[in-house]
Amino acid sequence: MAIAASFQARTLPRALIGLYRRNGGQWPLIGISLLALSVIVVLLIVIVAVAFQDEIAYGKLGSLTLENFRTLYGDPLFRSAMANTAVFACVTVLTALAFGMPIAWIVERTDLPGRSLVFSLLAATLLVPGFYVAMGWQFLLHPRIGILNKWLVDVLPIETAPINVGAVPVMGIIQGIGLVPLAFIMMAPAFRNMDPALEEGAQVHGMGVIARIRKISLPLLTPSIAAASIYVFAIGFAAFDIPAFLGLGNKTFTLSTFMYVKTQPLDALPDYGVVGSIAFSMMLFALALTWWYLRVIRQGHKYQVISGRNYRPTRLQLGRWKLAAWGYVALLVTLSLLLPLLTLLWASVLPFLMVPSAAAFGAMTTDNYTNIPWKGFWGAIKNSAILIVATPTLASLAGIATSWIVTRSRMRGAWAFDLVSFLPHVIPNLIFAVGALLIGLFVIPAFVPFYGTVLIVLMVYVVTTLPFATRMYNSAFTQVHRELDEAGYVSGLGALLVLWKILRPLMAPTMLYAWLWIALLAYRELTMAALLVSRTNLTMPVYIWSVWDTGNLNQAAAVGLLTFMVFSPLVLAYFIFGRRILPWSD
Amino acid sequence: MGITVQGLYKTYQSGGEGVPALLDVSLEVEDGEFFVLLGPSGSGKTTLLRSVAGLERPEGGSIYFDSTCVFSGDQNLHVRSENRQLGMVFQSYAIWPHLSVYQNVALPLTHGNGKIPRRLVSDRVNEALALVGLQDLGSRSATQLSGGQQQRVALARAMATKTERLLMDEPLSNLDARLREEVRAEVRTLIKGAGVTVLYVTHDQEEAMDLADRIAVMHQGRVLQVGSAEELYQSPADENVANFLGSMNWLGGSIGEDGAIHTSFGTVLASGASGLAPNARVRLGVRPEGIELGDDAGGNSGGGNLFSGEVLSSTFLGDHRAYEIKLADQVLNVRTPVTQLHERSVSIHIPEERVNIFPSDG
Ligand SMILES: Nc1ncnc2c1ncn2[C@@H]1O[C@H](COP(=O)(O)OP(=O)(O)OP(=O)(O)O)[C@@H](O)[C@H]1O
Ligand SMILES: [Mg+2]
Repeated sequence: MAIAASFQARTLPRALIGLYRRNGGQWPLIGISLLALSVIVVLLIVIVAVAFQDEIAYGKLGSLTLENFRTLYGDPLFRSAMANTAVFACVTVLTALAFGMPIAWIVERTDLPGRSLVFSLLAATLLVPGFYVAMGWQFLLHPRIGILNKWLVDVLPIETAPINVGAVPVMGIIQGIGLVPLAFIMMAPAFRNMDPALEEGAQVHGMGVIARIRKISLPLLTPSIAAASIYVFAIGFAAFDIPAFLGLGNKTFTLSTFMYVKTQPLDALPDYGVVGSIAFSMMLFALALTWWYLRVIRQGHKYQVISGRNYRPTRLQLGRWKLAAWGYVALLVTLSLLLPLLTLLWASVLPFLMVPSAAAFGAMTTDNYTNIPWKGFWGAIKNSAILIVATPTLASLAGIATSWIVTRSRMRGAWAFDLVSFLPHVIPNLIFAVGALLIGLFVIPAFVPFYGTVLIVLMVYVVTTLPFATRMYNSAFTQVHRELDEAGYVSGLGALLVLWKILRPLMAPTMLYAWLWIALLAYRELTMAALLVSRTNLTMPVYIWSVWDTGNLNQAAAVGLLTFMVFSPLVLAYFIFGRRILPWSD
Repeated sequence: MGITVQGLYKTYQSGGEGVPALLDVSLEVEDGEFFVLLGPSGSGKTTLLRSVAGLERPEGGSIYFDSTCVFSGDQNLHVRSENRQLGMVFQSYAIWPHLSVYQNVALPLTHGNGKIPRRLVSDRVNEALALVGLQDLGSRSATQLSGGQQQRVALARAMATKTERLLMDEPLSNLDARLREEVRAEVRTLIKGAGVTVLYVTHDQEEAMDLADRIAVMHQGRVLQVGSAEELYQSPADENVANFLGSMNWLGGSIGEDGAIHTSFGTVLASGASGLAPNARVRLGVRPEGIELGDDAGGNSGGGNLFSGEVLSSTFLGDHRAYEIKLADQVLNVRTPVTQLHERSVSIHIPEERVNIFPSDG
């Protein structure tokens, strides 16, 4: 008996070692990647399944139907949400380009001193969560209490507030300002690669400035502008933070906030079939946008043949226009960061919102900070901290495994791994959160601690940040010469050892960078958490929002600023270690 | 310690279509042999070497190390690279840039197939580094080395594990011409002394001839001929081999009833002609240095294969002289160490055993 037991104890590890030897440690990698990717697929399937069924109940299938769509598209509120979304996303695009394009041109084509500072400023814009900015603007432009509105009423001969922060175009502008870094990133290469000789050629042939811009520069830039527009539009149409913070209060819905309220109706049980059909519609629309985007990108490549040869980067000398250029950048930073954040700070030390004045300074108080419901605060901080550490760690793991399969394994279906891992980049995060919600409610049995835990949030965070990881690791893997791994294999190291001993040290900068970037995404994420949290798995952004939602705006500002302080080491680390300032390259 | 390759097939998929890289390749590398794969670019040498290394998986055929099967298409058997107990020097050297010279050599000994007890590692590494003359550079970062030094690190790393089979893919091609000869001499003494079986890829025929015990000439995914350098050079199996190993004069002719070969400039006797059917069209290949020239002593007199021709040009090239000689309607390139010929008209002797006969397609 004892002999048999010890015999087994010894053979089992040996059998495992044997298995590892034979497949060289590929299976752990394939397993990890498959696990993450199957979550993506399942989440999407669930949405489709729910959207096309009538009665949904736990563990039970209804019959196929289009009824959900009929109900949805017959709803006047939904149609107005669609109209709002269209306006919102278009204004977002226009605003993002209005700042992003000129600034990209300034950075790439002029001799503006201190150009590299522009990068850091844009990165800072990216790092501040959108809902902070939304809160700030609420304080500035609220139709009744907004500081700026009040001030304008004072100085202008008008009676009522001129700007309503909850109006769709205004929300679009605020969202657009937040997406300027993205527009910048997408436009900068176009300016960088445009051969000045092309314009000079036109100049020599007698064309004036306007004609040159219209006939030469714009057509050459068109593909890039179109691509950037579609990309920003795709983000804008599914954006949640800003429409939620600014629009929900006066019942102005976009698609995403409409879907959100459908999951938490005040009066009835949620109609998940309708929720599923909104999610499905948004998914289809996002896929259509992607297809269009890819087509535009491909057309853009046609022009690349023309540019790039013999080209010498000449920079326009700005001379006195330097000031104007910096002024424009300063305007952006003021609108996107300074003004809203300072307002937030101001609001957080006042019992109620006041226009700056001697009286206001006299009324300053720390009550908003000291009266924070600490239990909820620390609970939310704890959950957020778990997510901030676990999300990048798991996403990196899954990202490394997936990228390894895509770039290194030469497995037959590797392209499918690439495709599926990219889906969350194309399909709005919100959709995945809805999928998880539906799974939590209808697929996973209630006794499994999943719905209402940090786990469900973590799962969605990991799969939605996966594309960032795989894109960074794909390029990191391709930059390491393949023979470096192969030398390891021939020397007798298996796949995992090669990964650990050779690739890990070589990719260390990417690993750190990807980890930090995804940690920041997890820190600022409100959208998905909003759909998935209950009282038990509150994250910090949702906590801030809940305080905001109860009408305690000034305290929400205080909680927001405190949160920012708690997590500022992360932001600091990103600035110190994240050498490549901005994460997207194409 | 031998390597046997049988009927290997490998096709790459590229843009939806198959690119055949190996077509029915068979080889037998003997124990302790320095075996060179020689062939023009794209002939499949690297593919073959990587298949032996286990880095590529062919579609069909088999590979044996001695009697151990490491790959078999029929049995769907593929021993992974890390389990094949090989040493390999890559074309790019594949020196791990995050490790020092010492660590590069040590890694296979601590974690790989050459695993030995930790306490022995440092002796073994130092021994290997001393062998390639890098004993003083162990602590240097591998990226701070010159091309030649990197090449030596790669060699030390491959040899330190004392594997019995060593694979090398154009290990000298990244070095400049002078260094290449120097390192080549080193490789020869180091490796031949170690008694390992070497499979070595190059497209440089001089390198191949210098190093090889035997050479396999590859062309478009096939092995055309295997033999010693001299066999390949003097008796190439076909025109591709002949052309690839140095230049060749090509002369047209046909076999006569008597077994001699009739050409436009006369009858040529050749040792290999007897087996061919009468009246068959043939092509004769003669190496430029296989032809003997003399001042014209009055045309055909005495002995076989003696012709007279006319000097078209003569070029002094240091250690030899190159002539273009008109022989009836054909032009011969001749290379001889003789001093300047004075006559325009010369006598030409083509020794019977220097004439290679190939069937002619046309
Ligand atoms: N990864 C690949 N994908 C597609 N085709 C390939 C790949 N590797 C090699 N080939 C093709 O297979 C054929 C043989 O290539 P191989 O690299 O073995 O040639 P080679 O003899 O080593 O040439 P070289 O002297 O240039 O290194 C070539 O036609 C090549 O284009
Ligand atoms: Mg090659």
